Amino acid sequence: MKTSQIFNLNRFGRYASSTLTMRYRQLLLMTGAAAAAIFIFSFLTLINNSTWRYEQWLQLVIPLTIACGLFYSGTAFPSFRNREKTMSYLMIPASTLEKLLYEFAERIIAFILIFPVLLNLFGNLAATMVTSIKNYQQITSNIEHLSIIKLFQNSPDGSSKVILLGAIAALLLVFTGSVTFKKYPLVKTTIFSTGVVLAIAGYFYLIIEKMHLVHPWIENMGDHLSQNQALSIFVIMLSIFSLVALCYSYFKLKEKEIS
Amino acid sequence: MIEITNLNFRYGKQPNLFEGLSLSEDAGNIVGLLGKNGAGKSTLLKLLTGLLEAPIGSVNVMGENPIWRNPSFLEEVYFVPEEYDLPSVKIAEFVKANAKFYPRFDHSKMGKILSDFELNPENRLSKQSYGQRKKFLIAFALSTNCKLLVLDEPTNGLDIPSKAIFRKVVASSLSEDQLVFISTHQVKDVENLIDKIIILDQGKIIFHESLWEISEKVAFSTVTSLEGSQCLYHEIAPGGFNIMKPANGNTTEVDIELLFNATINGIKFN
Repeated sequence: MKTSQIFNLNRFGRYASSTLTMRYRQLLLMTGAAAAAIFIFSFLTLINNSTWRYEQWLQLVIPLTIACGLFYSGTAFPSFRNREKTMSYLMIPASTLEKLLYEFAERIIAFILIFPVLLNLFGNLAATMVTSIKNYQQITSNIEHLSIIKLFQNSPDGSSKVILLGAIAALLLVFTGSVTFKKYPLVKTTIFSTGVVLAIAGYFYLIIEKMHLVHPWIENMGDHLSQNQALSIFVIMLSIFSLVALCYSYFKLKEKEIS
Repeated sequence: MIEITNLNFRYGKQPNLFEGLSLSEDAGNIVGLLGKNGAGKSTLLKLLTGLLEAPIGSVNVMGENPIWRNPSFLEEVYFVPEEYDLPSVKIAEFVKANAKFYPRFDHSKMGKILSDFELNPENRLSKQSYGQRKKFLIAFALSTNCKLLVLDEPTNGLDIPSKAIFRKVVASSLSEDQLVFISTHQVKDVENLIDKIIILDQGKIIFHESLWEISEKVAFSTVTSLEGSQCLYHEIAPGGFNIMKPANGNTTEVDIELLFNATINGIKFN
């Protein structure tokens, strides 16, 4: 097969611009909904606190990022929720790789780049409004503004890499679910992956803690590894998981049919 | 252009829909695909366009296996399904965004057909009726100038004037290097348009001939009495009978509905 049948930059550009034209309303709506969620949650949290240090923003940033990220990635490949749209989607003259890359860029890369900006903008808008309201009511307050960059800079060494890779892996998991399951992909992926994680954890618990069937070195691995080594292993595992999820998505997309 | 050999196909654990089906078709034809409900017309169209994979047998369209869905193949195939879902954008926006995928897309032809169908490019697709959206899809499909056009029940939902316009625009839009497959139950809508007929029944092609060949063999007429009519097949009609009889050098217009019913009822006329 010619490489131009697998990937062609011009065709990818055409596909991306066409898909954006078809989807821009939904994307704008989702961005607006995310901005509203950030603002409302930040406002409701800050209005009930007279002091809010920038580290405390993590209590808002983490759950908001997880909720919005999983929802957004879990609704990738919107055409697959409907038989007629699936048909039109599969007939678009672009390769499977181009379709997958576009979806990856729209649902994962764009989220990682745009969501922190939305958090900064609308989190700080809520902070400014709460401060103004409290000043007007002559209530003493000390609300620090959110800075995602500062939060990242002040995190322990290497942890920002793990957080970023962990986020990509989690988003890729639901992204894979969205190409695999036709209906309720987010719910089905959550149930499926919870089952898998519990099964694996249960298996290792049994063989390590109960049966002592593994080499003592592995059993006491935590004592032998430095923090950096443990982080590196975790980073490698997350990277492998992300690559496997992406490859699986490619093949699921490639073998998609209409019954 | 199309070569299907010994195709076996079934959905899940259901019995075989196609068993040893073979078909060959060249460019330059408008083929009417007829069959009863559940005969496998839509399935055959999906196999031709790469929306379904043939597990046994081979399907070859323009030298490729359609299920590979190579971009070069998809650029030359346009499928208008019976049911469809169009995005909520203006007609002009849809055309601008999607025409660039088809190297031979003809914008002037698009404008002409839209005007024939009385569709305004500034109208939003989601605000159009089912029939208007179907007309738009037909206009787009014809304007792509794809080598293979597949239309599944294209006249469903079209009003009476639009059906006539449909026949006119299809007949005037095609070139010799194109092949059109039209699957339909509304045979009257495609009379004078198709030049070949394929009839599917119980997973087999039971009839595959050009209208010219048919009119050489059989003639169609309406008679008040069957006596002495040499009829091969007849149906009661207002004022008498619609009959199919040996042509004997007498060429008539093909009554596709009568031909279909005769074939389904096992009448042979070779």
